[in-house]
Amino acid sequence: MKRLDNKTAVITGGNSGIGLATVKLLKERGARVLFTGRDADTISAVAESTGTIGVVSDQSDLAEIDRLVRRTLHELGKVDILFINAGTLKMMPIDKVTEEIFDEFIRINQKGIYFTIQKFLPILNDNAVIILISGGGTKALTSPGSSLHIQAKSAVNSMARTLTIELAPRGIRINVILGAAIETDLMKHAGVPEEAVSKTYEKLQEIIPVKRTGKAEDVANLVAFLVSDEASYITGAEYVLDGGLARKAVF
Amino acid sequence: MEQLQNKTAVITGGNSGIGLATVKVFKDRGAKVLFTGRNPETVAAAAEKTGAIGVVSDQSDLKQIESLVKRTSQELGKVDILFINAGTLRIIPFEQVTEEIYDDYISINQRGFYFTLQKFLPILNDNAAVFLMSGSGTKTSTFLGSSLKFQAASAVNSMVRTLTLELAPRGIRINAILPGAIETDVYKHAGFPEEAIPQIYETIVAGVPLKRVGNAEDVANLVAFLASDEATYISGVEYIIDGGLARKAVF
Repeated sequence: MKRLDNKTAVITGGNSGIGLATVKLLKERGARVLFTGRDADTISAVAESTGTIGVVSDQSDLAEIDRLVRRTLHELGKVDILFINAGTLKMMPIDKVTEEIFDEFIRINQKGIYFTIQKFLPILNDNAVIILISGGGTKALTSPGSSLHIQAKSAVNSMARTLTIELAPRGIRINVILGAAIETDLMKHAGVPEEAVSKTYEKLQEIIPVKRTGKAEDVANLVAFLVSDEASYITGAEYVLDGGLARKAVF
Repeated sequence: MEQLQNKTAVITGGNSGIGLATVKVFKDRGAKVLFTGRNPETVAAAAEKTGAIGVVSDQSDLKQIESLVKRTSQELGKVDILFINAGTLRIIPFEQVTEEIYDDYISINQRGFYFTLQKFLPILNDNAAVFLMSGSGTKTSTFLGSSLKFQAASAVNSMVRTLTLELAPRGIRINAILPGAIETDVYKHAGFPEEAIPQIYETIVAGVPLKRVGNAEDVANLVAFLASDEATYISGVEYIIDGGLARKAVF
């Protein structure tokens, strides 16, 4: 039995990390999948290897979101699953954050998510599911230089809360996954030196109660469950996925 | 799809409602299941119907928990999944709660959880998954006469938070399920007149964004996912399943 047979799914940021793992898993479970990314080469490689549809699109540009919606309608018809996963990471002390840096980060990681939902609404099926992803999985924990990252994520959590009520009349569910310490290329893309990245993950491994960092597949499994008919009573939820990290005191 | 093949599972309060639905889903997915209940007749009927092993046991009595652990060890060997689900509901105005009522309620719904877990620890496999049913769906909203219910539920949530760390060295995960309005016999058992119950659910449905009460199966599906190897990075969490109820303001 394929749990997602006949469902149509759109995954933004599907060309690497958590997005890619989810593209593979939803495809495996029978869904027809369209994904986006910003890098044309990796997109076509992923589309080829997974047998899904890859589209170059940048969620910081509303005109591109409009085009993506039209393309999706053309390729898949109406959409059952929308996983807004695309995002960037910027670690930076507050005194270095210029207006330009602020606007660019928020445009991708907050405004882009809001308008992706808004513009997809007309082509979502009734009873569709939207999944948002919010880093800073533990809600309370921050690290130096995370002021941009965590404020955008807080805004994303808020969208899930308020839109729960606005989307419910159409039976559309919306949930947010709060992942922490998931190993992806995000830090590398953010310009953190490779050595520092592996050191960070090593340290995390010691701290995390389940004694390992998360994998992209851990998140994909939770997404696949939440978008299935088995989860039809779950909406407005913030599901933490962090190996128990949030329960660990710092001393 | 046999997500729980070869796993051994114990479900307390498995003779009705959410517990019974979980017994069925676990059986369907390949687990060997033992469940408890306090009523010998419904326990026998549920065992017959599901092909699971039914044991009469009351978690308010530590001696009975010890006998249950011995019996489990004989029947199943070591345990991979422990779902502490048994509980009662008591809606009563604060000033009418006598010491006896208080002790009786807490011994089942709080103390019984704590010691069931403690006494099962020696026969849990490393990497086992433990679930506690928390009576507190939305964490923040309460209603009149709920002082017993919510203090026990809060205590149960607290057990999950603290024991995440204590059980992690053995790879044992522990998570809380926080259901909203799920249609079960709990109101009937709490002494509500049968004709009043449909009215209660109608009132609740009006406030649930998804416009239905939950089924026991909705909760069973979530537990089955969390108990599977797909969820090994999830520990220490409180997962709400409430049709969006927690997001609804009262006005």
